[in-house]
Amino acid sequence: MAITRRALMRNGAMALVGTAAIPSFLSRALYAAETTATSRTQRLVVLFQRGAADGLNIVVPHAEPYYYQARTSIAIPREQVIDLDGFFGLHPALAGFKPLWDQKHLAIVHAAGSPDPTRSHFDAQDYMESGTPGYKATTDGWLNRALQAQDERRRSKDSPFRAVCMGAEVRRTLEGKAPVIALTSVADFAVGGRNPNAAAVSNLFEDLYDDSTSSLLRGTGAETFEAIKMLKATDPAHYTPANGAEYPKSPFGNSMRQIAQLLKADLGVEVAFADIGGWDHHVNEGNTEGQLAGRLRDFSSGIAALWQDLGDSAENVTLVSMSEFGRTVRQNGTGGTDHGHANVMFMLGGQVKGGRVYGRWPGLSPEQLYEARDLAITTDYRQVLAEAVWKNLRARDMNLVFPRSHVAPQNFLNYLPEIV
Amino acid sequence: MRNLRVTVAIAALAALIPGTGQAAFGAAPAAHKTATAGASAQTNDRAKALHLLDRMTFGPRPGEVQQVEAMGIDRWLDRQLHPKKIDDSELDQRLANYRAPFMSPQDLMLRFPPRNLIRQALKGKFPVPRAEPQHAVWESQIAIVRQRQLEKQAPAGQQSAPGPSMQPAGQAADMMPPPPIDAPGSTASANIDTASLLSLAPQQRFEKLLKMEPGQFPDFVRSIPPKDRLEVISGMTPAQRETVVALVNPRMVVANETEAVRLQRDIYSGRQLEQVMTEFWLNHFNIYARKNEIEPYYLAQFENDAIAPHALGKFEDLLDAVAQSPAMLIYLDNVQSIGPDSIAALRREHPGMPRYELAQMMPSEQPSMSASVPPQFHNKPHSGINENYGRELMELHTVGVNGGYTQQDVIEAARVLTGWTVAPPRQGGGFRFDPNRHEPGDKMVMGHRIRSGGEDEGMDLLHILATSPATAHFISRELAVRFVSDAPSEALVDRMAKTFLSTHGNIGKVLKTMIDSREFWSTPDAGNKIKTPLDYVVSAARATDADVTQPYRLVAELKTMGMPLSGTQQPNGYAMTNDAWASSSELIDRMNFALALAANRIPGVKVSIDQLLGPDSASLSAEEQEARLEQAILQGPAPERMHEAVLQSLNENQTATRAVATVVLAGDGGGNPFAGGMNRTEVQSQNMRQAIMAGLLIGSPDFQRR
Repeated sequence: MAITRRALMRNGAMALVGTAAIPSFLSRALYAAETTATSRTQRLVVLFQRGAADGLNIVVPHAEPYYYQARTSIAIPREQVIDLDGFFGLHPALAGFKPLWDQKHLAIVHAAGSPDPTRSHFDAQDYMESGTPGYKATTDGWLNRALQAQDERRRSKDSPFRAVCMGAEVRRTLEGKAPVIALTSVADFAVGGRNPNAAAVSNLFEDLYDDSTSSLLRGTGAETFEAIKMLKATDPAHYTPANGAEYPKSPFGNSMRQIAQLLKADLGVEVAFADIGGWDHHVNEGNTEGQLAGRLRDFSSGIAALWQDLGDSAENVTLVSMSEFGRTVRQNGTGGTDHGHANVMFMLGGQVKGGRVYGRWPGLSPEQLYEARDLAITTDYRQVLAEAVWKNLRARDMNLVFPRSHVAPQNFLNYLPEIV
Repeated sequence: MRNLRVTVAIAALAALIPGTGQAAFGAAPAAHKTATAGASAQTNDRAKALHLLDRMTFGPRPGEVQQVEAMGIDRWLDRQLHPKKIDDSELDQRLANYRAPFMSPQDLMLRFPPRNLIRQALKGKFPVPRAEPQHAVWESQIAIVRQRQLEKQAPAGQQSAPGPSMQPAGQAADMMPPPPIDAPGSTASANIDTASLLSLAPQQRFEKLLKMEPGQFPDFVRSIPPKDRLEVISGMTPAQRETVVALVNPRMVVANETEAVRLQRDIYSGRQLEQVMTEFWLNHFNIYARKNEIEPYYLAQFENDAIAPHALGKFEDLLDAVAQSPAMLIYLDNVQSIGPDSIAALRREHPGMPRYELAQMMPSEQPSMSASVPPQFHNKPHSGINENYGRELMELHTVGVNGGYTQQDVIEAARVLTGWTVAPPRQGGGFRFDPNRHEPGDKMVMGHRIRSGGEDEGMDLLHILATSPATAHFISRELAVRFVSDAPSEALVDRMAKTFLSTHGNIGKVLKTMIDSREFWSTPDAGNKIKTPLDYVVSAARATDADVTQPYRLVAELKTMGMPLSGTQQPNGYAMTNDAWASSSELIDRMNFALALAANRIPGVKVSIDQLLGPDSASLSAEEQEARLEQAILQGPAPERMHEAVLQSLNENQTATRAVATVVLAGDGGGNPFAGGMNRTEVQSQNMRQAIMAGLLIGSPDFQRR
C-alpha cells in the first residue's frame, strides 16, 4: 500500500538525519505489514499568520538577483539561507523546519494568495477566512462550510470538539452553522475551574442556560456544558507532551500544545484553528535576526513541537498555514516592508508529499511584479485549501466550500495522495 | 425574565414615543393583559429606563433605573449630553489614588523612565534627574540594566532565560514584565530586615526604601510573600506608592495606572454616556498598547486629550485631535514616514550638502505627477513613505473600506501626511510638523486637489474626510451596530447620517437621532445585544455596587475574556457584534468571573451582598433573599424556571459552596507586584449561600445581554 512504501522511504531518509524527532509510527510502519490510513479520522490543523507575513524573507528566493537588489538591508544573505532546492531556502530562524523538509513531511507553495487586490489587513483576512475573495456578504468561514460539505456517510457521530478554535472567540474561518468550540486554555475549560466540586455549580448554570430565551446563548450554552463534561473525562490538568516535545512559552506555543492535547485525547477533533499575530513589519523588520526572525522562531518551534508531540497520530494530521497577503518586494524607507500581494503557505503532515516547493514562480524582475511592486499570485490559496478539505476531510461539495471559485480536483497541486 | 421585562416595557413605551407606536410593537406578545393600566404604565417606564441604561451606559447601578424613571428619558439624555454639569465627585475621589495618568508624556518619561532612556543615560547621553524620588528610580533602573548587561557578557552556559527573540513581536523585550516576582529563593536577597521595615511609619518606610542600594529593590520585593506585599506600600501617598512600584519597574506604573483609571471611569463615572462614547472612540481609533515600549506613555494623553473631550462633540475635532496625537502617529507608523523628495530624504542621499542646494534639487511646485505613476522599483520613489496611517485613516477612521478610495489615494494621503511626527522626549515628546520630512508638491486625494501647503495639507485632507457623506454613513452604522442592533436598518443609518451631515458631525445630535428612533426601542432588538467583555465586567461591578480599590484583576480578566484594554493589534479594534462574544470559552470565563465576584474572590474588589439585599435581610427567607437579589442584579423578577434553578442552589450548597469558595480566576494581577493576594476575611464574611445565588444571577444568560 502506498502509505507503507512512503513510510519506508522516509524512514530511510531519517536514518540518515538521525533526529530524535522521528514519529514512532514511521519506524513502526517498517514492521507493519499494512497501515490503513482510512480507518482513522483525518484531522486538519489550520494556522493563520495575522498581519501579512513577509513570505519573501520566510521562504527566500535566494537565486533571484532582484531579491537582493530590492532589499538592500533586510535581505537574508545567501550564505545564511537554509537552502532547500538551489533556488528557495528557509530563513535561518526556521531551522526547526529543516528536518521536516528532509523527511518529506513539509511542503511549501510559493506565490500563493487571494486574488483580491485589497491591501487592507482587515479586508484581506476577511476574504481569506470567508473563502470568498471580493465578496463581502458571506457570513460564514470556509472551514465551517467544509465541515458542512463532508460526506455524511463517512462520518461518525458529531463530537462537540469536532471543530476547535484556539482563542477567546470563534474566528471567521470557523464561523458558521457547524458548532465550533473556542477555548483559550484546556485546563481552565470548566465552570468552577479546576475545583473537584465544580460540577455542582456547573449543573446549576446549565439549567439557567437551558432555559434562556436567546437561542444564541441557549445553543452556545448547550455546546459548552457538553464539552466541559467530555473534556473533564480526559483529565486535562495533567498533560505532559510526549517525545520530549518542548513548546515555546508564547501564546502560539500554548495554542500548539493544546491542539496536540486535544488531538491526542481522542475527543473527535476533526479541525483545529489557531492564529499567530505580529507579522506587520513596516519598520525595522530585521534580516537574519530581528522582529521577523523572532516571530519565525516562535512559529517554527511551535509547529515542530506539535509534530514531535503528536508522534504516531501525526500520520493522520495535515497542517496548512496562510497569511492575508505578502509584503512589498522592495523594502520601504524605514527598514520594513509595506502591504503586498502573494505569499507563501506551508503544508505539513504524515501524508503530505513534502520536500518540494509547489506552484509556479512568477519572478521578481520589475515587469514581473503585480502592480509593479508585489509578488504576483500564481496559485489561488483556495486550491491549496480545497485539496486539504477534499482529501483530508472528504468534503465533496466544492461549490459550497468555495463558491464562485474555480477550485476542482483536476486543479489540485497534489501535495496529498489520492484517498484510498 | 429579560424578555419579559423588556417586552412589557417596550409594548407600552411604543405608545409613549410619538410616531413609533403600533407598527413596531403591535405584534409584540400581549402577555400582560392582566396588569392594570396604571401599574402597566409604571412597569413600562421602568423597563424603558432600564433599556436606555443597558444600551447607553455600562449598565445600571442600584437605584439608577428608578432615578431615570423619575427624571424621564429626555432629561436624562439632555443631562448626559452635557457631562460637565454632572457631579462626578465619587469618581474623582477614586481617581485621586492615581497620578501617572494625569501627567504629560514627558513627565511620565522622567518619572517612570522607559528603558531606552535608561540606556541613553548609561551612555551619558541623557541626564539622570537629580531630584528625589526620580533619582532613586533612575539609579535603580540603571543598576538593573547594568546587571543584565553583565549577565549577557557571562558565558552562554550560565544563561537560562530565553532571549528576547522568543517574545512575540510588538512586545519588545523591554515591555515584558520583569522576571516572575514570585520566583522563590532569590540569591541576591537584600540584607534588609523585612519585619522591622514593615513596622516603620509610612514616611520612614518610604525613605528607607529609597535609600536601598540601587537595583536591590526587586530582589527585596521578591523575598516577601505576595500576600504581604501590600504592607510595604500601605499608608503611603499615591505618589509614594507609584515610586515604590517604579523602583521595580517604572514602565509598569504607566501601563497599570492608565488601565486602572480607564476602568475606574467606566465603573464609577456619573457621566456614563460620555464614558461609553469614550470607549466607543477608543475602539474606533484603536491603539495597540504594546506596539512598542514608548506607546503606553502616550495612551493616557490620547484618552484624556484627544478622545474624551470630543467624545460627544464634533467628529472633525475628534479626527483632528487623533491625527495630531503622538499615540496614533506612533501606532500607525506615521512618525517614520518621510517624503521621498523631502529635504530629509535628500539629505540622506547627499549627506553634507548645504540646505539651499538641497532645496534646488527638490521638484518645483507642480501637481505631483510622479505619484500617479506607480512606484517603480528601480527608481527611488517609494522610499521613506509609510502608507499605514494614510490607509487606516480612510479605511477605518473615516470613509470606510467601501468609501471610494483607491491604492493611489492611499499613497497620496500618506504623502500629504509626511512630516506629521512626534518630537523626541527631550523636546517635549508632543506632536510636531517637520517641514523637512514633508513631501513637496500638490496632491490629489479622492478627486480633491490638495494644494502644496505643508501642515495645512493634512488639515485639508482631514476636513475632506470628516465631511464626506461616506464618513457620515460609516460612523452612523458603527454607532447603530454598537447601540441598536447587529444589523441596523438602512433607514436608521440614513437618518443618523443625515443628522451627521446637517450638524457638521455633531456626535451628540447623531446619538439623539438614534435614541429618538423607533428602531432603538424596537422589540426584536431589545435585550438582543450580547455584552462585550468590557460591558460585562463593568456592568457586573456596577450592578453589585462593588468597591474596586485595585482594578488590576479586572483588567487581567478582560484579557482572559479576549478583550484586553488597548490590546488588539489590528487597527480595526474589537467587534461589537454578538457572534464575536458568544463562544463556549467566553461563557465559561464569564460564569467563573461571576462566581468569583460574588464570593469576593477577586483581590481589590469587594462586593457586599448584605448591602444588595437591603435592610432586614437577615429575617428574610432564602426565597425572599433570592427575589431581592434578582431585583438588585437583573432589575426585575427572573422568570419562574430561572428562579427555581437559582433556588435549587440552596440544596446543592454542600459541594457547590466549596467550589465557589475556592474559585480561582486564571488571570494574573496584570504583572503588578503589589496587586495583592486574596483577602481571606472578606471571603469568609461573605455568606456562600447568598454568594452562589448572586453568582448564578450575574453569570446567567440574562445578565449577558443588554
